[in-house]
Amino acid sequence: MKIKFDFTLSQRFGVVERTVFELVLRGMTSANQITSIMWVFSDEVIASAFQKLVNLQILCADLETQTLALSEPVQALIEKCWENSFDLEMQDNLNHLMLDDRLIIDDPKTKAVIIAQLLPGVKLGFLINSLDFCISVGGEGDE
Amino acid sequence: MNSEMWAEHMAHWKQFLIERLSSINDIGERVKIERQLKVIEQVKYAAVLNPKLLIEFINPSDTPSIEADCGDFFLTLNESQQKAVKSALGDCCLSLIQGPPGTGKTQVIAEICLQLYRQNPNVRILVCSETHIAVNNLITRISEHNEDIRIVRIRDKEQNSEVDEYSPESIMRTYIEWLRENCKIDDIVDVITNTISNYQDISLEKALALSANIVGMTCNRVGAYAFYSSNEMFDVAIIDEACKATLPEILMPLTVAKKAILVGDPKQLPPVFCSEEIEIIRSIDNCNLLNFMYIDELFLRSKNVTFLNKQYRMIDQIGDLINRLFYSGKLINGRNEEAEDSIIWIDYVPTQTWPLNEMDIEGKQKIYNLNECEIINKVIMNLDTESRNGTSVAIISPYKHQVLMSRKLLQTESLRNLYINIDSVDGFQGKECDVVIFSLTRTVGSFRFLADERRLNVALSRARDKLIIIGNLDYTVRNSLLKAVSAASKIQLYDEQFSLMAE
Repeated sequence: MKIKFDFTLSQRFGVVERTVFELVLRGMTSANQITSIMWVFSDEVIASAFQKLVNLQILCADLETQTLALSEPVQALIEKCWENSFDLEMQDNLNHLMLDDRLIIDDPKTKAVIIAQLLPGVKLGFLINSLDFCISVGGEGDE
Repeated sequence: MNSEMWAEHMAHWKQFLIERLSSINDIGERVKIERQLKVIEQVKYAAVLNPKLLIEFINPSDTPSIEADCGDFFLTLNESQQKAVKSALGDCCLSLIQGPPGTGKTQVIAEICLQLYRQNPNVRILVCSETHIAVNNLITRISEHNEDIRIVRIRDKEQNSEVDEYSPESIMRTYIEWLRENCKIDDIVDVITNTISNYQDISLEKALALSANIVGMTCNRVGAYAFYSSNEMFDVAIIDEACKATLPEILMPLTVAKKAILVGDPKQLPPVFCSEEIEIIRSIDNCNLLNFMYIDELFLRSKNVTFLNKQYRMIDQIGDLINRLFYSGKLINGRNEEAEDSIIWIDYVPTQTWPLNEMDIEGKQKIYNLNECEIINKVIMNLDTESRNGTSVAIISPYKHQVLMSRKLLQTESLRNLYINIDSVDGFQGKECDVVIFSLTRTVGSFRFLADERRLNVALSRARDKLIIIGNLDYTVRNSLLKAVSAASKIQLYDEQFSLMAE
């Protein structure tokens, strides 16, 4: 079966961090712009979210230009997830765990294996607790 | 309190909560108890955001705080209310305000919040109470005076429409509407909307709570969130109805604030334990949870207590009675209105002794009195004829079966002028009505519950204009407190042609 990997932020991140991450992912990189569009949360709460995402190496910050960007490891993972599809023998007992042809992986050991598969030779263990992966059915030519 | 006594008291609370937890199945109750157990552990190891506040709570300092210079007040306050505000904003990290009935506690808390906001527009205030209703009242009052203050009301179970606009759901609805109208990039609108709508934990509530100037929630709810760092610490926690909360409930907001203001009245009802809880407490060796309330002790010992000494609720005759019986002459009347016969005692000859020897499904005696139900009906009919439209009337009794019986037997369909509320005395604390009918219910037996000083204070101090007590005098004069109440009342004897106007 052809499958692809994808990932989201894990449960250790709250709704503000997730929103900031999604905005940066879609190209909104100005910290001021993000703060201003998310006015429903205080500046301190948004600043804490920036801090947490940067400290855990999900985002990186340029203090001079006051912009945020995806960290290099996250960017590399996204590219690999996008480019590659894999052949995987899905065991029958996993099929019933799939929802909309997707299987969420939150087991740390499996996540480590997936990261090693995507970026072999790069030590990205620090991302294991920050990301949850999902396996989706369908590969090249399916999109 | 010395540290050994404190440790023993906390150990009793812990043991009580552990045993209570093992005896209940209700998920909501279990969560509450688990939070209380957690806070006891936190306090035991001083794992709180401001240990200084905890130390002041356990061992209050002997020096009174230096009052703050507030400048102009936003609201109209009397002298004792102004003093309470200045003291609360002073240099001490823990201050207490004793507010007898009708003395404007909510007004004082609202002024404190407005002052704090003027001092610092980024201030974060946690407003807590043991009940949702008290929190809602406070938030409604504060929001009336300043529209710029950011308010969040977490978990509004009563569906009070006045404070609904401050619920997280309502705030997010307004925000998403704003986004749709003001953000031109559809992709961004969709990302934010989807991310926020799909949240499955309480991180949104917490983020809104950390973003607001004023956060309203029950004490217990505070325990639902993990406040990890000093950045997340509230500048001030205000705990209303502090004397009605249990010690673990009070401790929850204290663990997450730099400073605390406790508002309550040790002369009104303490927390009430149900019979199962009483049984557990009695089974614990040397356990004093039933007769020792630490918060009452704190009000006695602290040098930072302000007594609100002017009541605006009750007409003079009722206010004088409350003052004499419960506040040793320290409470003065603010309404300064007198009316004849504001306190009426309706005496009657019972057709039999009440309560009957009748048990409910839990095997407890059903305490009700059909004679008094009949009198209540008659009194209500009379009141409806002579009252102005919209008069609010509360029918209260210390006993739940009398409340249920009154609800069942009272004929309200034909009433034209009255709004009726029937409740237990305990359930009616914190509320008020134009007229209160207090059904004593018993004609025989113990006065322990009925004439408990704190319960009686609450029962007699709910009425603004008229207090009608229904009770058999032959029985009640055997209790000194009830005898004093009857001596201050106009006595009327009930017969079948009874009219409230009749002598």
